[in-house]
Formats: sequence, structure tokens, C-alpha cells
Amino acid sequence: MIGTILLVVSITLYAVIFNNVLGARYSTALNTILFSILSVVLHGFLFILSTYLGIGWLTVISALLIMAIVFFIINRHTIKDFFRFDYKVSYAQIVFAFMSFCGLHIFETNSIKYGRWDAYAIWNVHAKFLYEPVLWERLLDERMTWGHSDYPLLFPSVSAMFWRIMESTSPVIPLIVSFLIYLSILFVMYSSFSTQKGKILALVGVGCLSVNADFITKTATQYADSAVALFYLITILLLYKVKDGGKKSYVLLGIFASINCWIKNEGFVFFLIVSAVVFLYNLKNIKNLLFYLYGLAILFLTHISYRVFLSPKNDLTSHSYDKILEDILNITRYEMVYDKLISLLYFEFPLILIGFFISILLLGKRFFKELPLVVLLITFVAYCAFFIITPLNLQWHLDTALDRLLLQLYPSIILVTLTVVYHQFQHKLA
Amino acid sequence: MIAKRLIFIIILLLCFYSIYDHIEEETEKTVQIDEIEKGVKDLRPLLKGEDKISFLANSPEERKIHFEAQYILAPLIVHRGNQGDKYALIIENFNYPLDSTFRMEEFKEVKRVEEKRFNFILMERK
Repeated sequence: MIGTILLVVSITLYAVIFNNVLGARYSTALNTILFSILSVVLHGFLFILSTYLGIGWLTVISALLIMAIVFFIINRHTIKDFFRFDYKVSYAQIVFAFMSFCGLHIFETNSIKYGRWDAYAIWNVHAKFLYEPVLWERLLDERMTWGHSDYPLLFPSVSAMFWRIMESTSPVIPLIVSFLIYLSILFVMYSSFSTQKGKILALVGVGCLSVNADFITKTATQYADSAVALFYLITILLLYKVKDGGKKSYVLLGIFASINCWIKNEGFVFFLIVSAVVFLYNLKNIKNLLFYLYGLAILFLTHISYRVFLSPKNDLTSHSYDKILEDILNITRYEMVYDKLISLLYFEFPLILIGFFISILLLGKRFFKELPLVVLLITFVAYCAFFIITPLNLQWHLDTALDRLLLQLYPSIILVTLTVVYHQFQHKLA
Repeated sequence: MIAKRLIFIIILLLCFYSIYDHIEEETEKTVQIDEIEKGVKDLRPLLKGEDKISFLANSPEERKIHFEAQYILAPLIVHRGNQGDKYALIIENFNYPLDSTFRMEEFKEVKRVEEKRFNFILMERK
């Protein structure tokens, strides 16, 4: 119990420290949610590192707490600033709270103790391996590749770090982690607009995420896809905010973009797309690029090291070039992807279709100048292209994975659509 | 002022509690996993030092139960079917035949645990 309290205290303290060191010129609400998430990521990452190096987890937490205390002694004003909140309750906050509880109620009624199939077959079983301080390396054994042991470890590490400190593998922890991820998606969406009139649009976004039972049911499965959706959403939001956030915003963008690599394999593709777009749009501004590189360095380089030296080979890379070419030239595969995509967009995620349609309608030729939209569009095309060349049975792969890939993009597309609407009618709303 | 934050924390804790309360509701899958966990609890100490085990279940849904068994038995690596490991864990359920790769005469029974839906038998290679 004491260990768990120390871990929670450490996560809270580092959220405050990050806010102090990295806090960009964003609203208090956005900074709070961003740095709380970043603090959890830091602890998850250190947990993986300490497990790999064989250092006791309690020792690491104790060291973190001592460093935090030293930081607060040196920067006493930080604590005062943290408690200097704007306590005024606005109508928007009341509506947000009401919407959140509607969403959380749907989440709760769709939760299952051990999660759905992939939760106990992949993600929570990875967490169970990580829970073991010595025997965890068996997860990377070739005999475990059927359990997708090549997947990045950050998502299961969050459950495992609590399990290790509690000395119990209670199924409540992964459930609470999923619950907090869903809550964080709502918070990030709400804090994406800071102006009073922008809050109306933010509430529309929160509404879309708190009444869509399909979306909420999928976030309650305890799969990593909701975490991917959260970090896509944050990265897309930061892409919008880089203009007004100062130099720190590029560092933050680099950090959050690189976290995607550590969540799921498609996150790595997303990270590459974001980085390519950031580079292309900032060719004349080397300073911004350097800040971006500075932000992504640690997580990206450690991820590459993990891929090269530790992780087993992915089963989806087993295709020969001849087979890939054959699949690319096979029209039937395109038809199958199209049919499945259209049926999902119509029946489960119509807002994705509507969002793209509204954005094209409002932006016209300026569509390709909207950086976050370009990122999402390329990611969407990359997902579809991936299915064309998948070595697995295509129909089975589409039936089991495509809806989850759309779930990953869903909150980001809502945010982008609302931002396009906001910018378009800014002079009327502001 | 502080009351607002306290109210928020209390509501959040209530949400956690309602989730905790909700997951205690039994579904077919949770009953299955709970029973496997209960069943193998007494068998685990006998497998100390082992890193892998063959897993066999005489159920038409063997493939699915294999994942639950892996979840429960991690960090032990659970092989599906008889793969020549020193130990084999058999889950008996109903009257379906066992995997054809398994030869009873090659093994001796170490321990048997009987639960409501399944019987758990730990076998050691002779």
C-alpha cells in the first residue's frame, strides 16, 4: 500500500515539475493534462528501463522522490504556482462534467473484468511478464511470438508498474488504466480550445466522444488502441498549438510524437509521418527542427535500440517482394478493403466521413496547407495500403483490425474538423 | 474553493468504485478465467524452475483456452499441444478427445485439481 502511494505521489510531483520545466504558453487545463500524462509515461518508461537493468522498482521510485524533493527545495515558488488555480466554475465545465459522466457510465456498463480477447491474449499478458523482475525476458523469447511479443512495451508497463509495487496482478489495474485513458481523451478534447466561444466547439467534440457507444465500448476493451487514439489526439493538437506555444512547444511536440513509437507498431508509422511533415513545413526554420529533434531524441533512440537489439521480428514483415507486388496488382484486394471501410464508416464511424467532407468543403485548395489534416490523411491512406499487402488472410485481418485503426483516428479527426470550423468562422465566434 | 476539487475527487472515486463493483459481475469468460486461475494455483509451485509447459485441453475451444492459460501462467511459456516439454498441463472439460499429439503412456500424473467446470491435471514426462 505504501509503495502504491509513493508511486502515485511521484507521478503527481513529476507532473508539477514537467509543468514548471516544459510548460508552454497553453491553458492551465491543457498543461495539467499533458504533463500528468507525460509523468505517467516517464514512470512507465523508467519501469521498463529498471526492469531491463535489473534495478529494484521501489529503489527507482525512492530516487525519483528524492530528486523531486530537491527540485522543490530549489524552486519553492513552483508549489505556490501549482496551487494558484482559477477556481471559477463555468457553465462549460458543468456541461463537460455531465457529458463525461454519461460517457463514463457507458464505459462502465461495457467493461469486462479481464477485457476482450486481445487484452488477456496480448496486452495484459505482456504486463504479466513485465511484472516479473527477472523472468520478464521470456516475453521476448521466439516461442512467444504468437503473442505479438514484438509490440512496444509502454502500454503494458503502466499496469505492470502498479502490479509490481502492489505485489499483486489484480485485473482492476488494467481496467482503471483504460478508464483513465478514456477520461484523458475527453479532457484533452475539452482543453483543446481555450477561448470562451471555442469551448462550445470543444463541448461538441466531447459530446461526440461521450455518446458514441461504439467508440466507448472499444475503449473499454483494455486494448492499446485507445492509448494510440489519445497520443494521436495530443500530437495533432500540439501540431496546431506550435505556432502559439513558443520554442517549448516544438520540444513538447517531439516528445509526444515519439511516445507514439512506444505504444503500438502503427504509432511508429504515425510518428514517421508527423516527423516528415514537420520537416517539410519547417525547412526554412532550422531552430524549430532542432527543438523538435531535441524533444524526440530519447524516446526515439531507445525505441530503435529496442527494435534492433531486443524485440523479436514482426510476423507481418514475412512477405516476399514478389508476393507484395502480386498483392499490389490484385484489384480484388482493393475492393475488399473498400467494402469493409465503407461499411465501417457508414455504420460505426460516420463522423470520420463527415469530418473529412466538412474540412474539404470549408478549406477547398487550402486543405493541403492544414498540417494536421495532411498527417491524418496520409496515416489513413497508409493504413489502407497496409491491408493491401498484408501477409495474413485479408478478410480476417480487415474484420479484426480495421475498426480499431479507425478508432485510433476518430478523436483526432473530430478535433481537426472542429478546428477547421473554428478558424473558418473565427471572426463570427470570437 | 478546495471543496470543488474534493467533490471532483470524490466523484472520480465513486466512478472507480462503480467500475470495481461492475467487474465483479460474472460473465462466461470471466468465470472461465477465474476457474483456470483457481485450478492451476496449487499446480504452480510444482513447476518452479520450469520455463515452458505443454498445454492440452479436451475442449473444442482449446485454442481459445490456451490464451487464458498463458495469461494465468505467465511468465511460464505455454505451448499449445504436446511439444515435448517436461511437463504437460491438461484441462479436462466435458467428453471431447484430447489432442492427438498426446500419448498418455509417455506421462505420469503428478497432481489433479477438480473444479466446477474443469479438471486440471499436471503430467510429467516419464
